[in-house]
Amino acid sequence: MKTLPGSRTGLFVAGLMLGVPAALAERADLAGTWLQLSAGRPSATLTHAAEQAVAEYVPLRDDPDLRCLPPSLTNVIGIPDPPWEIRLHEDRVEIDFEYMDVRRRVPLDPELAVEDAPFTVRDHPHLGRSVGRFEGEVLVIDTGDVGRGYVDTRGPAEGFPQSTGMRYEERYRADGDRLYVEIIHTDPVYYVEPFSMSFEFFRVDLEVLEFDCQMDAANYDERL
Amino acid sequence: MLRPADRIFIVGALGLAAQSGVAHHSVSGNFDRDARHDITGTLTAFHLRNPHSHLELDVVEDDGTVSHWLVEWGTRNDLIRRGVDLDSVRVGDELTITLIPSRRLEHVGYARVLTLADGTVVRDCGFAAFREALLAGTEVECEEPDR
Repeated sequence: MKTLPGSRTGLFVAGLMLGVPAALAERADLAGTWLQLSAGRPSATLTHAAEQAVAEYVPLRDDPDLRCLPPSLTNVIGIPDPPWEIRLHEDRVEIDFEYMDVRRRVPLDPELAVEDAPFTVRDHPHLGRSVGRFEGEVLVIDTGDVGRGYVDTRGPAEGFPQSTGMRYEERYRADGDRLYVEIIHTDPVYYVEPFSMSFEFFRVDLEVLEFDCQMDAANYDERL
Repeated sequence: MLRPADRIFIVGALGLAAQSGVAHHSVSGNFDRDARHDITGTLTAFHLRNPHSHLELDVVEDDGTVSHWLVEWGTRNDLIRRGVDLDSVRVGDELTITLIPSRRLEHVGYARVLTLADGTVVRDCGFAAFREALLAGTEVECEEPDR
């Protein structure tokens, strides 16, 4: 569902008229398709193990998307080009990323522990088990039981690793046609203390296309 | 026991967005952004796909030998969404590609500008220009010519 700028009140009223629960209508600002406007990253201090991992990282050998695998949740959210969509339901949130066809289905259940939550991306279980809840208008998603991967595969943080003990706390807050996402990472194997990465998105009227990653387009080195 | 390292990374706002052009991996890591190279030849294949598109070109060198080039381009989805005129790029046609060369591999590059035999220029203006156009409600315009 697309919303117009400044339509929050109207959406709330429309929600009531359509019989949508009021709490859901209040959250509807998050719903829509988004494109990255900016990405900012505060500092993270690496452990010795992470230092070693970064030193050993070879992009054209180790980048998981050479095998058509998304490197991490942060990597999927942080890729600037492709749009992605949030759809809210009373019992779950659906987040469709174009990149690598990541389709998340996150239960909204404040009583559910992350360990008991389902793997939320069917085709990519290494993206972990997630459960969501609302804190006021902020959607909070907690994730654990992830596979080894990389927080980032581009720029100065290229090759920054994540262990299987990484825990994510994603916080989504909408303000009109802007969406603010903060991701708090806790991974004592590789990072001395939790660190966050923040992204800003703007609402767009674009279609989330099928990605259909092709292996020989992802990694063409071997045929040269 | 964890041993803190002193390595700290700081990337300012728009840090990621500055890497427009390829969503999936670092152009800078694989290709030399500071170099420009023109190749002219016959297009033997055009693979429009994700996460990279590829153009293959046979180029006749000065000594008469033929070099086969593999030139990476944007994702299929990005090229289509940004309105790049892909229909004008036809296998069998002669064209010139302005590219940035691979840092490691011979006869491999990343496409910046395609110039067809009739002089038509085909290029992907990149994510930043596309985003600015969306925000402004205007047509996509390339910010600067690459050649």
